Amino acid sequence: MRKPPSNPLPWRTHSCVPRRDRLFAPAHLAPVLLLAAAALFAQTAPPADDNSATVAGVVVNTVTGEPVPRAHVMLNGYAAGKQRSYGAMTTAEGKFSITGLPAGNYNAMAERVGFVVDHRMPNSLALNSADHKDEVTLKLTPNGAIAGTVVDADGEPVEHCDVMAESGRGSQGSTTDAQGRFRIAGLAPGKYRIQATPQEGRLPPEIRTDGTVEAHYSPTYYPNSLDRAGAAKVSVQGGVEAAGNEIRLVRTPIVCVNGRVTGVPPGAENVQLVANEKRDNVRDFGFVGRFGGGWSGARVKKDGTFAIWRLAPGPYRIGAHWNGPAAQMVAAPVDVVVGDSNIDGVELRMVPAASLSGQVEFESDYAKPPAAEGKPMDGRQAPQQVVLQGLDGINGGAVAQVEANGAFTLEKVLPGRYRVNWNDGRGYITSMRLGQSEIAGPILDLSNGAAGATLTVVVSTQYGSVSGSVEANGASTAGMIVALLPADQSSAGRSWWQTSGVASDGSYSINSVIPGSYRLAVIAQEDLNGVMQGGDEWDDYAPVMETVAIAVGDQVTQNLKLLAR
Amino acid sequence: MMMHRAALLLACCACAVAQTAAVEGVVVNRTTGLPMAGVHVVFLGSSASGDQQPYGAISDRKGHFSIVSLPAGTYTASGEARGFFCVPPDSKGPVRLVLLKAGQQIADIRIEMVPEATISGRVFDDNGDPVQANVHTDVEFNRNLYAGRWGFDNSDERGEFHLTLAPGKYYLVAEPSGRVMNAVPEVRTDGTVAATYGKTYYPGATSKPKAVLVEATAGAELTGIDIHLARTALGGSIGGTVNGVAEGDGYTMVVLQQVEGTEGIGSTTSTSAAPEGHFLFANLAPGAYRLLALHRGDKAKLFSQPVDVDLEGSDVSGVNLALAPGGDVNGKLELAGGAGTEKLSVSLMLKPYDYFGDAATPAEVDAAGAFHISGIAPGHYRARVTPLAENAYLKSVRLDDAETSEDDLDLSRATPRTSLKIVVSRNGAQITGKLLDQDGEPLGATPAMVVLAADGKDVDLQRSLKVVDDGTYRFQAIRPGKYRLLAFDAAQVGWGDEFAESVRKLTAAAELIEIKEGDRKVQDLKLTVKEDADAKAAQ
Repeated sequence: MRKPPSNPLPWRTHSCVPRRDRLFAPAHLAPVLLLAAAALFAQTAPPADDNSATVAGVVVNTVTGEPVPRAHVMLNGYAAGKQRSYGAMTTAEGKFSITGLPAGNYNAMAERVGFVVDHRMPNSLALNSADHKDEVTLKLTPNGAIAGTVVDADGEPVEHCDVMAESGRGSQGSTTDAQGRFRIAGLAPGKYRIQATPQEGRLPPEIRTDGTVEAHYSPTYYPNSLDRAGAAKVSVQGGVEAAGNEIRLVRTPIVCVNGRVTGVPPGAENVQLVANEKRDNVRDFGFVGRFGGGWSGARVKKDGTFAIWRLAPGPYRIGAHWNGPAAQMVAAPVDVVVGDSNIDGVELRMVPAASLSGQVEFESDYAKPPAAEGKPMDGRQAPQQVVLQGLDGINGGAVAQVEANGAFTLEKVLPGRYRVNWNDGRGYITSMRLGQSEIAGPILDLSNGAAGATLTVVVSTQYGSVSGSVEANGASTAGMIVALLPADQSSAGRSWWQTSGVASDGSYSINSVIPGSYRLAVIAQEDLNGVMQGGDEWDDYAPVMETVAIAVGDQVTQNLKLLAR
Repeated sequence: MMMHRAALLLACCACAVAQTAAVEGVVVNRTTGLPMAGVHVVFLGSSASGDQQPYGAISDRKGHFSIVSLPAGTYTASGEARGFFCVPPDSKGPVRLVLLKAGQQIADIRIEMVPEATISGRVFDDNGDPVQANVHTDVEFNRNLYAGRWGFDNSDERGEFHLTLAPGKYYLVAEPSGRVMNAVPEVRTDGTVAATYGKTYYPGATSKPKAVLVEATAGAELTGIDIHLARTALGGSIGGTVNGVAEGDGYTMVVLQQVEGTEGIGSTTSTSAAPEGHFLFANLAPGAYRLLALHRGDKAKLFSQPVDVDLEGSDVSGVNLALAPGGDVNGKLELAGGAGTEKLSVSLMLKPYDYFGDAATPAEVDAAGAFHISGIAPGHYRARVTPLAENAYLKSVRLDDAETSEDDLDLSRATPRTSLKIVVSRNGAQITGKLLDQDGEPLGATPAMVVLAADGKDVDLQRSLKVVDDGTYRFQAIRPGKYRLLAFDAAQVGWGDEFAESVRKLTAAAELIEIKEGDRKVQDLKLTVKEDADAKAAQ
């Protein structure tokens, strides 16, 4: 069935090259043949058409204002019935030109090594037949970098230490050399926390008999904080290297979390442990991976006991899971705070998955499904679902279809904490009951199972709204976004966030707001990702943040100010 | 020096607890031969329950270190010092292994360190522009590989990379980030051509024979090791038609897998077929590919046979993928020696890779032993029955009345009348025993590997190999037959591909034993020494 391996030199197998030439082609001819073949593979432009459009312009460095040579310009869009992709390279003067474009809607972007890759803010271009847009300016922002050294408590450089720079956009890292130096390049302008993590295994303390003592260091934020909140942020500007950042690692005692896993079937092997770092200052909008430095994989011993060594100080949620041949089991998670001494007696009790049945109660004025014109594309009624989303990192989730009488059954629910979502594209959950107990907010705690209780979910379609205008005082609101986040940052309250663009007259409007208390601010679009993912970009807007309380049917007006830059 | 050592040994004898061992030695700089002070020495031991316990020391001004009170067992010994790598004494393995018996005292351990070398340079494209690429040393993972032979860095926006390595000769490789498979081909009207660059060896070679070795001596700081990336062919495309799409709801998708080697499946991408069945994958690197189509609708689940295509430069078009209903299996499960009470289920798992994502749905076996699995995508499968009792095994697997292997059921052309008969025996054999060292003494709490492999068949490392750490081994649910049985120290046989090859050789030379239905064998096993096995194989 298999053919011989393909030839690494494309020109040798191309059908236009006669076999004899292939065998006897002198070495100096090879590049020529390669180019000839390459030209054949290249996509040829459609024949010139008088009605085709043209786009031309220049790519500019936002910091220096200089044109950017050899930048790759991309023009992607949907035109004349299909997806299209055009490209060009800028000249030494930073100029580019694309011809033969069918009318349609395109996005234009530029990219070049050393410049920020940002696909979130494309320049949209609507092209009509025979349009000639000859003065398109595409901007590229140069990357910055962070450099520095990592030292231990005695000021000695530390080699092989992982250093990460993180912002709401993500993180990027490097490793220190023999002089303890690091350099993290390719960073978009912004503020970064830098954390240095010494490389080590999760081993018990070293036993020494020569009178020396093992020094142990925990992951440390710049300049010398174990705690995320104590991290000083390093500001990175485009095209500039922020150098000289010294991280002094913090020495901590080597401690152990000891415990036992119970309720595992006899003979079960490979029970896995998970210790997830809890970050309570991280907002939780339903993203599952909201834990910080997680760690997993410790083996539980045959007698069910375990020992987890060298966790850095801080709060953790410890869990255990086991994948048996017929069933999966998860332990009710236990929260611990690692400090200066060992933690003993953690009991992780395995609870088998169980089904959880329930009932949806619709408020009397619950909106009816939209009429025929609002029908989903597949012609079927949008399903009504109750969705459980695991919040412990190991408990997964469950989905139940709701029957006509409002009943539902969630199958194979593992113990743990869940966010409950109502999914019909119209309503939201106002309250819940597990058995007779009322639950405030959308978090359902099944750490010890449901004990046979029934889940009642009350849903509503009655919303409020907020609108107003942005007082820009002449400043541009282009690329600005209004973000609405719950005022209560505790896990029970974090359930909803919404955004709106700012119209050219400065107005904004957010409809369908679930009643509650919110905070509201105009943020830069580049911070949106970070804010959505729970980053502290949101806190930067505290000086202009407004708090609003929105009740059912309220139409709140709230004007907003821009953050002074 | 002698006096010093004698004094220390005396001190050890005075304080050492019975049944523990002691080690001492010296740390030296291999390049200068001089002793090194302040080096962190670690002896890492493993206990019976799999726990690891490190023992440590810091070398003194004369390079001397000492650790007492070590329990008997196997230890890996290494040193750590900033700016140095620890190298094994004789290139025999990735780490130095020390076997300590109760009461043993070793006084001449030599830990050797070499100063790191650094290699730095930049990665450029045809225009002399910097490129961000993965830069690494081209080293095979084998038993001669020790810390510092493998170096890796991502070149930055200036194209710069820095590798910290043990002294030696290296091939350097730069790999630009992969192309996006199935991107819409980009049209250029400005006369430029989209350049793609491939894996390039220093200084600009497409293959290792044309590459230049870089020699880094101890403590050297080599700079200006620039790599000029070599261009590769532009992306080719594979297109064709899916035939036999059912009317009504549903969707048809085509899956494209990159095939590497005989069974290896590389990256996978998919596209949905147009209503009339046309599909196109563009911007593909040259290589071997496998295509499959599937249609999932309200009523029917349809699959095509896999089609293999070699993309060698020119585009490939006209690939025809004919959809047909998935196979159905009518199964019968028999328990040799009478029915049991457990509720069993049978699952079929697609080999080598589950490209349809849902092929492993287990079918429940009813009281009469019947089971039914439908909508089976064409391919080769493994059959599994769960849960199986302690010594139960699949005694016989018959597909359409022909005996076959539970690990290779050919369902490439399954029809609605395909029959599968599985006989489960609960009387599989069992073999247990102790592991012994070279002197015939029980090995105790030392990690080792044990292989029980059917004679004359390729060793399945997943199923035939066990890692044990408490000095005993146990295989159960063994099918009757002839087997090769052996135990060895994993550190002897290298890593990666070399490991698999070594295990195969060792196994072929191992003792042949016959196992009968229901056997309860007890057999102690002496660790195989690789050199002995090599000599035996050479005879």
